[in-house]
Amino acid sequence: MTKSLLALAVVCCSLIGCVYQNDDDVWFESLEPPDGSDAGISIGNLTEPIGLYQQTDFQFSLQPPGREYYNVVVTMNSKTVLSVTRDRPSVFFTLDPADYSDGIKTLSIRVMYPTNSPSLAGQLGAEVIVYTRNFEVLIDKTPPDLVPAPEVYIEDGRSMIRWEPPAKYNFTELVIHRTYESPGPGQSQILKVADLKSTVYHDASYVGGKVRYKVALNSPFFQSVSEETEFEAIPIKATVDSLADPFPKIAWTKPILYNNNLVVNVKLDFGTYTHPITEAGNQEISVTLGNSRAARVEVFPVNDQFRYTYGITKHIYKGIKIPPFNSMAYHAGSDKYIFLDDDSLKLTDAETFQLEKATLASGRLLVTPDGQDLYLLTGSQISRIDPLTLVPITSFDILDIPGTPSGIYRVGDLTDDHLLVCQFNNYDIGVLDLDNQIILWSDNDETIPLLSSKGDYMCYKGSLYKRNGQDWNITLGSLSDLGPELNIAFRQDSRNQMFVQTYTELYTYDLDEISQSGIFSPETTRQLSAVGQRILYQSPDEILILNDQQPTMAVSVYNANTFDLIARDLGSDPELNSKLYYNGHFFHVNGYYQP
Amino acid sequence: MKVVLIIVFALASLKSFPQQVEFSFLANYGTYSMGDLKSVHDEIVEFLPVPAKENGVYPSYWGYQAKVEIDIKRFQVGVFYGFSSTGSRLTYSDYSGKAIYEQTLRFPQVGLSGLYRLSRNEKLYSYLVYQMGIGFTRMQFNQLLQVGNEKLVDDELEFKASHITISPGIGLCYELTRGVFIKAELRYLMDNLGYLKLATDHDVALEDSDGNNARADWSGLRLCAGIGLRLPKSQN
Repeated sequence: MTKSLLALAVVCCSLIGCVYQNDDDVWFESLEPPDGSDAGISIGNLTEPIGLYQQTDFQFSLQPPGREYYNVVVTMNSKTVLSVTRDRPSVFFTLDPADYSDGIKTLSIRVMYPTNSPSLAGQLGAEVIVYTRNFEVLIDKTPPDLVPAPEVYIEDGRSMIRWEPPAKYNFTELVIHRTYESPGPGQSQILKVADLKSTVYHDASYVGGKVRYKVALNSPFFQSVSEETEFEAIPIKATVDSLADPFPKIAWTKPILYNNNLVVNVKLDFGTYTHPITEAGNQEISVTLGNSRAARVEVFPVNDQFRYTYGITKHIYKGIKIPPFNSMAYHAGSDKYIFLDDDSLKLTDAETFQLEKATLASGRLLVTPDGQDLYLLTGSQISRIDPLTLVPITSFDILDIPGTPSGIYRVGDLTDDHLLVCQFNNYDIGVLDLDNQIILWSDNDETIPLLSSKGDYMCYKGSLYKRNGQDWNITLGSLSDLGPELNIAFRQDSRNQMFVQTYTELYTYDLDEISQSGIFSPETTRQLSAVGQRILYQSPDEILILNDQQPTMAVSVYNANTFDLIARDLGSDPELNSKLYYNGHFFHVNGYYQP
Repeated sequence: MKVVLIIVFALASLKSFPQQVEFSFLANYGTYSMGDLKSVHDEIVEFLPVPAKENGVYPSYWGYQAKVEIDIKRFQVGVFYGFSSTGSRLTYSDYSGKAIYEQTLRFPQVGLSGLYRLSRNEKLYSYLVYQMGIGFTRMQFNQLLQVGNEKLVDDELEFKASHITISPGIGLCYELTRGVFIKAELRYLMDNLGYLKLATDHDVALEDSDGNNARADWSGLRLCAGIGLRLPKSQN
């Protein structure tokens, strides 16, 4: 029994030692540690050395992306610029060259980020890669040498500016200063050139005219400016044809800046038309004038900012073709126009100007103020003409009149009674009675007298005279008290009225009233709306025309009775004096008729 | 060991006991439910960012039991002492560090036992067996998380739990020679309570993935085999 108990005890003891024991082995995963070969810092398209010429914002991108954080430390020459932890793979910082001396500096970017490797440390975020990259940064605040004055030229319709490349490119802004001489000096514009390495620039906004160009290399630390270059181009030559149908026709020739950003603006009273300049060569446009028969026209190249100063600006009037003439007359009795050119006399309808009759003739055409009688002066031969047949009714040689001293130098007024003021070749003055073929009055002075339409009154050497038989020896008054700037005209109808225009005023004198009362005083006084220069002409239908002051040289038309302004600015060109006003019509010696 | 020997020799003195005394020792192979602790294990697996390897998750393991019983007609009643153990382990290592999570559980048990012989045959008989006792779990919870030479986590925790168990079953006994026999039993152990609390602070309990207190559940089958000695009755 005891042996059995001992055997049982041995079995018990062997089992009692049987307690669960965990395996001591530790599972090992064979992984390669990351070597950081995917780390990188990208600086975009910057090339080393990085030029730092102004305060600059830098952006660097980091590789690899997708990490929880990036700890970045940026130093410039061991001076900390930035120390930050970001959740995105990019870094921003600002460098200012003012903080550093000139020379090559070392920009160091150190980035630390978790590996995210499959290892235990990687998965716990306890494994990081530290990557550092250095960049060379060049700081140069010394200005480059001045570049020579630029060359300015036109190429393929473009106005181009070319300059020599600078010795170095440490400037931060390349600009071209453009100064138009018109509308005045000091109108300078700055044209920025985007590419600092560029040496040529297309000034697409240049509209033409005189300009000066200079090139400037700018930086926060210096400004290097070239000498100026002057340049001028006339972009277009514009013309306006008032005879065109439809009226008016506006055209321009030889546009040379057709590849600049220009358009041609045609500005009329009733609208503005814009036309592109797309190619070289003549271009023309037509605009509809509607019911209007006159317009102010401006034609000028323009862009968003500027307009060409010397474009056309003028008034135009719808015209029709009339015969060319040296002199002309309106015959009120037959309502016809008679034109005289170098070798023929022509009769036209007053409305259509259709030629009705023509005959060989030459000289100068004279018409009485009442428009009833016509005379043709050829040399010293004067003929009274039938206005319906153009056949001479009477004819004689002025030099056959007793007392005429020599040939005729020029003639003046012709009155309704057929009195004609003549100046002879010896400059003597005479008033001829063409009906009686006698000299009524003469004087050996160069001053041409003015006669009233009926010949009753004469204005001569600043005084007003009344006719007494064959002489004008009744003095009615002196005009010298009104001032030196006198323009005088007699009314050309049945009323004996005189107009006297001073610098800014217009007086009317009732000649019959003055003759009866003996008191020389104006009937009316009118302040002019514009400063007058002289009375050009007075029409039979009582329209008075004044030539306004320079520089407009405009013509204003007033009602001769009420002196209300009927129209003004009817023309403003140097040919103004070659225009004639007749019966409400303007006639131009080059053959245009302008109502 | 010393305690066991003392018990064995003390029982040997029971020859003078008026009833017939039986002493038996059975080895067993048990399965353990451990539902909560497996959940904790799974949570650790899920927590680890690396594919750790499992070296056993509360597997079946050997245990033993000693009983002293006396005959009362066809019944036997007595006391027993039992012991079971199991554990789990998760490991991972690479060039950068290692992670080790391991638990070892020991479960000593004492209580009352009884059986009823189903036949009157003394040489070979089958019986019904029933045990009821209390047990005490001691759980060693070690965790190590090391990166390079730096130990981020290095804990050795001990949890304890108390249990009340009942274990019914059936058995078969065969007498080899006079007073020496072999026994085999198949029991099912039902475990109650067993909530694990920190040994150093009973207010801190181990929780499973759902936030409930985790228990060491030793419930499971016990397949037992052993040897017994029946001491002869006293002749007085």
